Amino acid sequence: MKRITIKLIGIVVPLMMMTACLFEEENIFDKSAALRMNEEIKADIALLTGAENGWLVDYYAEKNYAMGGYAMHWKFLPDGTVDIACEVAVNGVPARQPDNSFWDVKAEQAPVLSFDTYNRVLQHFCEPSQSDIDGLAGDYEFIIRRNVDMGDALVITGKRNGNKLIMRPVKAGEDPMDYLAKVKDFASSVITARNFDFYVNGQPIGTTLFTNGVKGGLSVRAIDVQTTLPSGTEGQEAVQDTTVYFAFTPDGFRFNEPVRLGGSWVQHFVWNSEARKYVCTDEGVNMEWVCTDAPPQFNYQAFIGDFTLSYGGGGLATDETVFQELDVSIEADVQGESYRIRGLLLPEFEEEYAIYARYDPIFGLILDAQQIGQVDDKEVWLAVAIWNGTATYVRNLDYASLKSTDFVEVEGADPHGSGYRFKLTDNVNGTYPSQPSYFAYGISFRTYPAATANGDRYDIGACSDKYRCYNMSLVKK
Amino acid sequence: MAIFLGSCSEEDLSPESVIVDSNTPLNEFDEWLMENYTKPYNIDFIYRADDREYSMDHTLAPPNYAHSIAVAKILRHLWLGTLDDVKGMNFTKAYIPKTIVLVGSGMFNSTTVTVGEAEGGMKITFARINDLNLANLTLGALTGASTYVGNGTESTGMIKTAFHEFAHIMTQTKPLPEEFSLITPNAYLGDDWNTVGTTPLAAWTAGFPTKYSRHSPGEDFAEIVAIYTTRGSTNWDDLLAAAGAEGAGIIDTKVAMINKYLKNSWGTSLDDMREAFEVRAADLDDLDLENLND
Repeated sequence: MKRITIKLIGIVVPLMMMTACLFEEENIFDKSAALRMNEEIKADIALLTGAENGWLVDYYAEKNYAMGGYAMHWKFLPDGTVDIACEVAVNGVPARQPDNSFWDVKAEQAPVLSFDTYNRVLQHFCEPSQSDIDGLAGDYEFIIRRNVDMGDALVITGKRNGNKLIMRPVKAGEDPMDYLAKVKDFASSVITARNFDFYVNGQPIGTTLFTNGVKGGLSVRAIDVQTTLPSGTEGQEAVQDTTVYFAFTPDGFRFNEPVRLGGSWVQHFVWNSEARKYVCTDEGVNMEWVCTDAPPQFNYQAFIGDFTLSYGGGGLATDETVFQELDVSIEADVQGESYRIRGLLLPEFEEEYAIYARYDPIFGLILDAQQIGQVDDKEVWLAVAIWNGTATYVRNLDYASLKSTDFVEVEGADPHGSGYRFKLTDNVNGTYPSQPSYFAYGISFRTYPAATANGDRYDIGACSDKYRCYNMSLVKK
Repeated sequence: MAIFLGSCSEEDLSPESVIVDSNTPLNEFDEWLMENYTKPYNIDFIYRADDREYSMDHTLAPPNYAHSIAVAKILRHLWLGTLDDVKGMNFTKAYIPKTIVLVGSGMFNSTTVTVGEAEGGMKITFARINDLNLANLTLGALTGASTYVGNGTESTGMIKTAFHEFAHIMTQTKPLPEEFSLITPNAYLGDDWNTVGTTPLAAWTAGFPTKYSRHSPGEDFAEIVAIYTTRGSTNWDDLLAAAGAEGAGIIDTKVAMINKYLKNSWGTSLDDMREAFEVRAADLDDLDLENLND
């Protein structure tokens, strides 16, 4: 018996050893995981820096894309930094002005694109605060997904919040800043177009509403869609009530991915300004959203040119019936967005200080109280103040604006002439209906933060001695 | 059997290492950190966001590059430098956390914000560095002294946080005598330190330097070490005055016990540390927070 056992061991053991050798493992990959990851990272870096004019990205913040998309330009530089610009001003950085910071592609389970030092533009969408501890829930670390067939585009997924972003290389000859400017212009041109009727194949099936929520100082780009379609069961209808998030393009808007609306998968819409409607441009889809809101009252160009600024009163002894006039010229500043006004200051200060006004499609030209310069430790402010008719400023400085509210055609001897009328607006409490349009026009020094509009007056205004003006209007020459 | 041992063919080792060089180009700050942190102290100073080093419980913003440079220079001068001056560079090198992590934003909890964190003596995180006002960086802001006793509020400061966390490393290495926790045994509040309505004044009069020191004896010790070292004698005297006779008496008892511990275990004292700190703090204005080539 013992012998048999030994014999058996003699047969079995060699067999076992042989078996172990026969199934020698073959390498599936010819290089180690670390080396392959490194190659992948090198390729990603080459790809990112290789886009000569950078990349355009619809950047979606908040989980499930709930902030909507904002157009950004990312330019990866070989020195390890990146320039990031956004279509809108964020975090104190003007629209389209890039902020520079570091970036890297890091080896994790997949290559991760990381914007790993503070970028003022990008971090507007990411950084937390005590009142919002996850901020706008945007991401600054992204898993690079090259296994998705997107042509030239690159798909990246936010590591923390999971939104998928599509990076499109800027085409040769395309100016990315021009793209951002057009997106912004388009967005502001349709700001009053919010309510739509929804048509499929010419049939009305519901409504859409561009919502007006604001987060982090930016509008949330969301559309509430309500449609009613036959459900498939005779006599029954399916009501769809959904919110979709979008990004503006130079001529319309798009969704990050196709969305099922009104029975079709849709993604791209173009604005028809004549008919005031969005038309879906996706193949095989006949879908239109027709705007039901009144068109905007004012257009940007109307306020550009030479004007006479007329105003009642002036000086401490106010007399609303005595009208004064100033020659002003208004130039485009940022196209579609702001103006520069000349003629409000004494000529010797015109170059030193600039007075800006905003364009708004509903109010036209808005002149805000604003800091126009700095002398030593004193800030120079254009004070737009509301006077309560006695001796107290009820709102002052940055609380108040002058807004044009309507265009008035005048016949005869009205000293205003035909022109744009302005109303003083309390930006905290709304327009002062019971007060005349006082305009404290004195340009004053003040130390920050000051409680009153007076500060130390410093006469640099063309009518500094007449710093209260009533019933202002702008009359085009 | 010997035949079998050699029967599996040997595989050649790959000539290529699996350890690959970083693809990240080094900048001048990286080089400065190598010379001022890594080589002398064996510290990995991480100023670029890395979520493997970041708290996953918080949404965090990465540090601003210019702020990171300023913070690196300040910590080198006021923290590492002070410890060098007190106990020598080998001491600093032996006990300083080997990983320093910067975070740009605060680490916001629902109602509080964490501005610093230490993990078992291995790693220290400084948060909220983007909020430092580089144009007007005062010692008071760095130590939290500027908003301390004078107006009855508490804010921490980066340097105070650094000494606070280092104090933890000291007691983790050589334990604080049990008697310390028996000075005010029933007054510690644990995680309720911020919610059980204690004002700073209430903490002072109860014999604690800050509200947070009521968390536990360990935090109490770390707060006293950090505040005593960094906020100056005037501030400390103001604290004792505000604490009243009873509160000041308790604090003095704690200080005496801490001094005994520091002397027996580490051969130093709170006054040694304060003195060394103040010598360095006097040079703060001359510290160039932008230029790496000075």
